[in-house]
Amino acid sequence: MFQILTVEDVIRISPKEFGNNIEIVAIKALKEKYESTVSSDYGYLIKVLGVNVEKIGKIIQGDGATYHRALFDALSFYPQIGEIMEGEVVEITDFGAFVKIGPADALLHISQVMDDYVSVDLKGGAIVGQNTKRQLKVGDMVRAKIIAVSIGKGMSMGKIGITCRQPFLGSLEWIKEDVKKATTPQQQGTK
Amino acid sequence: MRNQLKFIERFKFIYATLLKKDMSEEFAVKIGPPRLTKYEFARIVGARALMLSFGAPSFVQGNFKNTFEMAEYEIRQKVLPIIIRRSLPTNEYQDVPLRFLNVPII
Repeated sequence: MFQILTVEDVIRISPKEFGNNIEIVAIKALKEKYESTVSSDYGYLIKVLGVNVEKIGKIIQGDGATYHRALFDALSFYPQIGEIMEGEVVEITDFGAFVKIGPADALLHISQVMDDYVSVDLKGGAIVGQNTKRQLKVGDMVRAKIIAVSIGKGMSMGKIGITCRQPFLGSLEWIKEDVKKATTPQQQGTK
Repeated sequence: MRNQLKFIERFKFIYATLLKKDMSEEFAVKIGPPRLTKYEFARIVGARALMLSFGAPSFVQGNFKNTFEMAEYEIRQKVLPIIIRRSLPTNEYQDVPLRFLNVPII
């Protein structure tokens, strides 16, 4: 889920920056500190949008800088279990495919690609279903459901697991086929 | 959300009151002496000299031997936008802008 958060923090303004516009300086400092970081509190923080800095800061002993309280808005992406996302397949490996959803790459495990017996054609760069003959290649758009989220602490970028095994999930072409299949027989015979 | 709004309100209020106090011509010092104590003086000279040595722009012009001298001159000229928070053991405090305090010759 993409969301705009309001975060409170204290920022250090270096003496070199005194006299410059404090909001510009603050945004620069916050961008360096927060942008493209991952945390279990706010997920993937993508962009710092706006900042409201207290103009009066504190002078702490032993440091020439001033410390200002700041309240800022930030765009973040927090993957939630059960969420449906669309993304592009960026890599195919022998254990599955990586799908780019928002700022992160999610793992679509081989067992979760489709409801079929699947094999990987690493040379051709495709995952093939044995019965349905459906193929998943790099560059395909995929609709998937998030089934596992582990956002690590510190520097690790976090892991997201997704599935396409349920009906009406998978490559957008498959979904079209599924929708056709689901709509046509209903008109002919009813159960 | 409500907490955030509260915070913004509080922050605006604090800033407005501080600014008002800083800008007003009359000011009554309620806590402590009406002059800069030697401890406050030392603290400000030290902090300001450190800032200057790290490249902060100065409020005064002239030839100075070192940043301490420069900082002292700035204090005596009453051009520094520094506010002293004087507090009591009862957690009461008063924010005193530097320019309302007399600087003794130390």
